[in-house]
Amino acid sequence: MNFYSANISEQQNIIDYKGAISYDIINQLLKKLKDEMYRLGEKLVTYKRILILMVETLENTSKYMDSIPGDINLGSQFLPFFTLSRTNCSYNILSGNLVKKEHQAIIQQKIDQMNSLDPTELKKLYRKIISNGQFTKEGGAGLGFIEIAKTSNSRIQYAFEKVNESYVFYTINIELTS
Amino acid sequence: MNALIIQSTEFTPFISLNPESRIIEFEGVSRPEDVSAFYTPVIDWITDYESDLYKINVSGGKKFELNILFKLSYFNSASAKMIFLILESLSRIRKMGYPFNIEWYYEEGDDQMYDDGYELSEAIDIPFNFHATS
Repeated sequence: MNFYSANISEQQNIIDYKGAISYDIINQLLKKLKDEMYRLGEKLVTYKRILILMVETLENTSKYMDSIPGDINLGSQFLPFFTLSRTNCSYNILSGNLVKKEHQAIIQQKIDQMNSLDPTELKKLYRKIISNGQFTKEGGAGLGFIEIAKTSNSRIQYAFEKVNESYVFYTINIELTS
Repeated sequence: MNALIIQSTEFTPFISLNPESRIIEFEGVSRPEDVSAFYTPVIDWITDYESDLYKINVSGGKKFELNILFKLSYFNSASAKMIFLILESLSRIRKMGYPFNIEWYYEEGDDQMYDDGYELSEAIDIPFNFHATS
């Protein structure tokens, strides 16, 4: 996918992390975000929007990593990563992690659905899912991708790279225009 | 019925459910590691409170006003679903005739938190009073 190198010369990395994603790691990354937003003098609403995108992306990664055996070692190129960067007019989240091959179609279907909906339809779907009282078997609310789509208000890009017969490497790219 | 007070941490909110003062309050950040485990006692308390108010209602007891305060600075999507469950319980209490509005506080300039409150208000069909704090 060409988004890996898009506008690379203009980009400034704010957060660049590679390794396991756990609850505590997410907390550390959120503290880093807060510090960086303060340092950059960013508007509160922009910080909050990035916070939402970061949490939902990282919690999603953590959820799918939980179903992967801890002793699996496919090389450092398949470790999870998370990058937050900015250009003059936007922030960009690029995140990647292994997922089981059987999860690819589910993720793809969810993102395609988000990309097909306009803001009004996203709000309608949000209300439907928040009021159905159901939680996913991993304890999620099923609202993560809706939150990402609503908040970024731009098309979510993604890619799946085959690792072996059981796993694919999933990459998601989200843009927030400031 | 006893009050339920949960102290805040960096990533979990302060929660005070007080039947004496009739104040229900949420404040801070909500991103618990296990959202379900964190909110289960809160949902249980509200459900029990709803039952108590129902009993007062059917026995002809006097209705009183409640104060519902949300002073959250951030909540993740899993917490949003729990907050909605709490709002559903509150909505039933309101339909029994106990008057209240929901006071939704957000930091001035935090349009996102305002939007989140507005969205919840529309979804549950209860008016929220919005307060920008500095």
